Amino acid sequence: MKVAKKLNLEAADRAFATANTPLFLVRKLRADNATASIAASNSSREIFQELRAVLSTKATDFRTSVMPYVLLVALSLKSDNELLNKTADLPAPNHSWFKYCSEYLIESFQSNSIHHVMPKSKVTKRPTKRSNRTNAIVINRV
Amino acid sequence: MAISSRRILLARQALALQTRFANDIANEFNPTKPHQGDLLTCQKLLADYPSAQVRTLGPSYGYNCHGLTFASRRTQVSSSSEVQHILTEDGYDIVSIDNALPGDIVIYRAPETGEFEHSGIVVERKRDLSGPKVVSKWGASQEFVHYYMACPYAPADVTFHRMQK
Repeated sequence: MKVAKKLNLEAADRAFATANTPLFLVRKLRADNATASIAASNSSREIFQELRAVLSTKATDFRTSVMPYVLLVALSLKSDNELLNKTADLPAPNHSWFKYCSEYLIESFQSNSIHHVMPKSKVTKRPTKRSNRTNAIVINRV
Repeated sequence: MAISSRRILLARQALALQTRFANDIANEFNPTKPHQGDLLTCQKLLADYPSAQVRTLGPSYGYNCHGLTFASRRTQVSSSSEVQHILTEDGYDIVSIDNALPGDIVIYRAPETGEFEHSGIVVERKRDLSGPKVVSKWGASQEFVHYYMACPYAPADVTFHRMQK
């Protein structure tokens, strides 16, 4: 994966070091350039595979502790609902906030997704009573 | 009588922590020892807030800010709803920044989400535009004494609270 080695992850380290709550960490990582850069330069499948790999290793410092969260947030930026949903099932015994963050991001993704739900309709035009200059568009539900 | 030995907890565990109404507060004591290199991150952090004073030796996972404020530094309380629970059931009242006194607590809420991202205890009342000084724990980092807005949690919606009886 083209990820992390060349990236400046100092802001992510600091976000992890100062996070008292999981959502603070998510908020900071969402605003971090390194996270955006990972999302921009890797496919969602590559990020997911890297995520699975780092979750299976024990965190030894702030950097290795924050990496799963960096990758999770990067994945959430990819708009790949299928792989994001799979993160909730990944075992993360060494990262106590991971499941909570994953579920939060899945829920946010779903509530922010645009669903195109169009009722069956027939669009017609007719002159309005108030003005002769414009025509109103009337949608007749059928 | 002197304390003869110091026992060390080795496993993650929740402590018995309750509100005044005897309702449980979710918490987790994490005994993980921070890596030596993490101190460097904390030192860089301090460089961003030169007016802050470090109060503890190094980073620790044992407690966080809410654990300092509401559990005497014994454990981590990471859920915003648990903090709300404590504020309500322990009977905290809001006080204005001008009336905040040492011993009052300060709560930082994220403007976007309303989440309780940080808390601390007032240690010095407001003297000038910098506002009161606060002691607080910055996540897994260290404890700092700092002006209430000179910390990584600003900008935030800040409120001061006092338990009056």
